[in-house]
Amino acid sequence: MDIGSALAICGAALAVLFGGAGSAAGIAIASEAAAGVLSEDPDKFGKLLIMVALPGTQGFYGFLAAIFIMMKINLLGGGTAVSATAGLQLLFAGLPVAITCLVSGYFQGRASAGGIYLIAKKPDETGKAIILPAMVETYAVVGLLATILLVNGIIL
Amino acid sequence: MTILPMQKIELIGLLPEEEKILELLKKEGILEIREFKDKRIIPSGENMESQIAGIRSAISFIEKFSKTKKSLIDSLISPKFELKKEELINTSKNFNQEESLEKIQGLDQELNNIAALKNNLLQNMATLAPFKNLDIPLNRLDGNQKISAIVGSVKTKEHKKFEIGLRAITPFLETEVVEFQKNETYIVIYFVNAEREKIEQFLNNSGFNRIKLLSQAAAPLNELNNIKTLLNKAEKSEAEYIKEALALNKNKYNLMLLHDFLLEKQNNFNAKSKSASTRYTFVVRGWITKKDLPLFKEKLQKLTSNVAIFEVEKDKDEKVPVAIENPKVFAPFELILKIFGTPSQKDIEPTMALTPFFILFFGICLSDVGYGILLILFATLLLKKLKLPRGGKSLVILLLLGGIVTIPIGVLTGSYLGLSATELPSWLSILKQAQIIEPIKNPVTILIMSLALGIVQIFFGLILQGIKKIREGDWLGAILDDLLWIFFISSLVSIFVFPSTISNNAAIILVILLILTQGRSEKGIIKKFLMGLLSLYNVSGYLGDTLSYSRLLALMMSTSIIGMVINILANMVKDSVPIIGYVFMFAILIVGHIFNLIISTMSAFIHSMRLQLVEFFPKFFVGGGSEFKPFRHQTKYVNIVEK
Repeated sequence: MDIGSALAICGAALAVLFGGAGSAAGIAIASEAAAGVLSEDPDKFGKLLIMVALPGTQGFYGFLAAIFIMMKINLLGGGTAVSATAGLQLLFAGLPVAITCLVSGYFQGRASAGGIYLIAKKPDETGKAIILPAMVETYAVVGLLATILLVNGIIL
Repeated sequence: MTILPMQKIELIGLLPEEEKILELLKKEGILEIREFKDKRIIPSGENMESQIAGIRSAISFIEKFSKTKKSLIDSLISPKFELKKEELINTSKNFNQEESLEKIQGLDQELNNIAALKNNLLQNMATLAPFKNLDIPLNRLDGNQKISAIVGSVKTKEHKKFEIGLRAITPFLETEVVEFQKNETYIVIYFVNAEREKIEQFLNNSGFNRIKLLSQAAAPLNELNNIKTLLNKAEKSEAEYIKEALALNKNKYNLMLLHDFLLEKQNNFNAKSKSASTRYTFVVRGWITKKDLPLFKEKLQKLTSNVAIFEVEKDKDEKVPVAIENPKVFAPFELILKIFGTPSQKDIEPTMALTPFFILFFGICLSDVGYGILLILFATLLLKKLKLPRGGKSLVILLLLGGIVTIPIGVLTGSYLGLSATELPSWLSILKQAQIIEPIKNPVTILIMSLALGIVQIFFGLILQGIKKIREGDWLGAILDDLLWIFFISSLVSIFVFPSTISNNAAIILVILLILTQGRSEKGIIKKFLMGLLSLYNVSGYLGDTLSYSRLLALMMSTSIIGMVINILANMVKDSVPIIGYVFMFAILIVGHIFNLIISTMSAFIHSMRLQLVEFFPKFFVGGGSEFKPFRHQTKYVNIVEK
């Protein structure tokens, strides 16, 4: 396998790594808050599960970007030759989603934890509690979009 | 669709008929009761709040031991059971609440006591365990006039040093090592009383951990056995009590009814305490929608003739409650408005305006025929199987409609449970011709389409704002602010799409017009000009709003690619092991697609909603009204239904 493919794989790997790490951190923060609330009121499990799952999307965005890069270099179908330059380009193209997902995953977790406390006090306001952390996710989506468009634009 | 016009009324009736009239009000649920300034003060008689709290804790006590656990769906939408008013009253009256409440409280108390006792015993056991080899009755350790004993432990690795140090103080002592563990060594020190001070001083400075043992006539080993017997006994009686608690499960239903019965009673009481009364009559004051008023009068007359309704003026500074009404199809979408808040009296009711966009965006985000069908199936199942409260029902209907819209969009983008149209069996090949775009190969096209949809919705929002201004008589504002901005954004778009001198010139003219008009409310020509110039900064806001719609592309891709990956994984395991490979394949397919469906539906819902609340609403919607909260049944477990 050539160095170009290796670089492209590095880009894909970074996207999955950082996206997953961000989501893991975010979900952990939200879970801690949720567990605290559940100790008082186990009936809120369903609502809180949604709140805990919110920071989970970043991991999928990273994974998605990785699949996009893999499809670009046809890795799933045996692989095509990738020049070193193109490989480096794909590596860079993977960075937006990787870093936005890492950071937004963590902070969305914190926003979710805030929402969880809101639900603990006012269960009727679940809708508002869900929409606020979704604001944070916007920038993970933007990162994913940038990566998709960049990968799409790179000529092998 | 519309914000209903309201009327404030005063209802005067005879005191003996008050309950009857309140019940009618509650059944109809159309009057929001407002407080009188000189309201009457009614003694509450029985302390309902603490009664309700008592029943609630009894129910949760029963639930703690009940074998049927609440399912996840139940805890999400908390279904209620349906009951007629009379049944509720009868069951609650016939039910011997004192007895079962007392029993539950007693049981709860007993179980708590046993738990505390068990805790205590276990602790004693743990303290005593290291001394089981000590062969004298425990109370002998208390000492006598001449000799005393101190019990405790030191770190094993410091034990030698400790012994040497101790013996250096005085020869009038004896130590006995009773338990030798890896970390701690347990010791009894016997000494002559005269030496106590010196020894204690040494012990305080040598890391010796003093242990206080209970003074008992038995030796440690016997005492341990005693504790074990007690523990067994406690556990046995605990099991008995738990059995009794389980048997109480049959009372749960009655307790729930009683709970709601009292809640209703309290509800009536609160309504009464807001109204005023004379010796023979009472007055209720509140808001009702104008369209409900004639029918309500009729129904009231049918109930009793000794009643009068007057239409009254609103108080100064009184906030008129806002009631909204939508055609039945659109009513579930009020859920989205509700998350944002209540419209003000001047607002355009946005439910119908947001519905097509929301449902379309939801479909675009999910965009898979298979998931659309699954969503429809799940939603219908939920609607059929469960008696849902209003909010939960709206949510499920939204998902149902979303599923329906997802199917055509899935056909257009060619996605079938993550498979592309070309991978479908041949008898479905007609679907291939229906596909107009392959999102994964043409993300830019989808991106442009998403942004175009965004611009359409933003324009729509501006038009609604214009309409609102015209309704208020502000024609100039509608034309100069909203229309002008629509033209300006269009001209900017046209510069990108059809670059030509015409669009360039149009944009320049519109910029000049905006600078000239946007500062018109300011005083002084310079300030007018500056504010006009500054208003151009709004372009960045519109740009940001438009770009936000690009999430439609990202979410569409996310659904289809995760689906695709699940299929690839399933395909990989298929041939790995004969026969079992197929089992794995089906497991991956089922679990994976359900998982993707849940995740993607959640994202599609939340982000489509966000586009309405954050990008669409601020263009024309203010909100901040006070919600119309009519006096109605207030129950937790029961839905009160008519015959």
